[in-house]
Amino acid sequence: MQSSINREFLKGLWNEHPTLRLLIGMCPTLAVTTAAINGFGMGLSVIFVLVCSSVLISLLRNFIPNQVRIPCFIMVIATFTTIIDMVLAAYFPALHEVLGLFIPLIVVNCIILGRAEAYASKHSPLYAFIDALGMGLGVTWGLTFIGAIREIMGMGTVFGLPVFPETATSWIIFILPPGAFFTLGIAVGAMNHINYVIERRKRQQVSRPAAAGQAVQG
Amino acid sequence: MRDSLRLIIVLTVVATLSGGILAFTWDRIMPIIESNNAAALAESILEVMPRAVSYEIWTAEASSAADADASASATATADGTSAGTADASSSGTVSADATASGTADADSTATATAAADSTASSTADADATATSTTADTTASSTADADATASSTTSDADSTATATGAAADADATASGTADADATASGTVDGTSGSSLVANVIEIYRGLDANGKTAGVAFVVDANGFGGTIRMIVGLDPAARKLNKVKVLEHSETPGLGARITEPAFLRQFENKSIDDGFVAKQDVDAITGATVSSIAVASTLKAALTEVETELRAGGAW
Repeated sequence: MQSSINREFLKGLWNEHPTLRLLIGMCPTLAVTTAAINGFGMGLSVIFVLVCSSVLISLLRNFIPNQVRIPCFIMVIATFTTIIDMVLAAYFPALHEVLGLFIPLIVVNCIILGRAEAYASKHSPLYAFIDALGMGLGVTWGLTFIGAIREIMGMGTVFGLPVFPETATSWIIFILPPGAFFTLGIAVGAMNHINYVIERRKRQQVSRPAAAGQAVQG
Repeated sequence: MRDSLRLIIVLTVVATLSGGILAFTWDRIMPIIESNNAAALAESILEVMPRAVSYEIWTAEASSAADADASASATATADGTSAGTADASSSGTVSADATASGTADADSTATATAAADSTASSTADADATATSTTADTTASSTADADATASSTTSDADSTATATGAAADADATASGTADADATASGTVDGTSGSSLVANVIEIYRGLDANGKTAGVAFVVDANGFGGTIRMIVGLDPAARKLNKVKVLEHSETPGLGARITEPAFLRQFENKSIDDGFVAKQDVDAITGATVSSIAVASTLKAALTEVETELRAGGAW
């Protein structure tokens, strides 16, 4: 029980990372991540919508017939998206000003509908909650990471703090749309490479436990 | 048949549930958002006019009729913490004006009374008891076109406005109706304003003695991603801009959105209004956001010309 909860939580953070492994929810990933803070704010908004809608859909899963599940999911997701939009406007006007355009787009975000369809509609509310939280945190670190890289390369700052001296030339293209694709491609490639290295190390440890130390160096 | 009925019932239940959750939040959040917006606008108006301690909504009639000025400015005194409530009360009195002139103008056009009507009901929601009752009575009296009812309400508010409306009924109707729309947070561009479309509202700043201490106006520019709403403070005597502030925009984050940064907006401070306002010549454009920069600069130039014409026509320059 405990280990399965852990697994459900952790899978969203790495093995089934929504943006960098499953490559879903690309619209906010590419559009919002011009700065680290934007990606972070978007990630938090996604956590809220994802957790709330997953739990509610999980509660309603035996009540909603299969034929109309998509409209029902969309209605639930749209409700929470509107709520987070209003809450941000009321309590965090500065963040809402930055993210305002993209918050309504959460409703068509594949991650949320995907989790509702693939997980929340088939599991109990507790598991739906754990899964949604893990996936939401995965999205948050993914978007923050991509946003930080683009901000560093494009403006020489991260979270608004300068990391390069004033004289350094910043590459504006990383703020522009092409930069989003470059960064995403490199991040996905790096993630795949890390997984490949881990996988290889595991295999070698299983087949030749004695030579594991050498294999890592090689 | 039974199956499809079940689907419809489920959909209705889920829609009702979602709607209920939404309505619950909406009722709690919207007043906060509205008061935030009103407070932010009131704060911005004073911020762009450094020497002003209060402001009033400028109309051609307000500057000619001294009494109407006094009553409007008395309620529009907004500073710091009480900005939200002060603004609300100012919109209340202005809406009373609008209804008074609307009834005076009752037989000229159908659209004018309709506009007055709608503003009256919208402010009645947001306002205190006294104002809302007068607004209600005038709203019903415009529907009936009852002359006595409208005259009593205009008496109750201020007689100066009534005479001003009688002298220039049409202009008063359009000017105040438009003013009210902005004060209550929604902009009604089609209410027959005498201003050209993109200048939304003009405010006159007052110093401690009630003298003019600057002019501020709200203007919309067509940016790259949508409308850019700015508030501009200017010093008519020195023919200089005081300060420009972006209120709303939907430009690209990280690029066009940098028009809100001080580094860009500071170059308009103390800029002569006779300058060209050409991006990449006397205005530095933001790298990668030329469209937004040009939109801001050229709109400022056009709006300044408009506002100057407007103020000169009203004898307030």
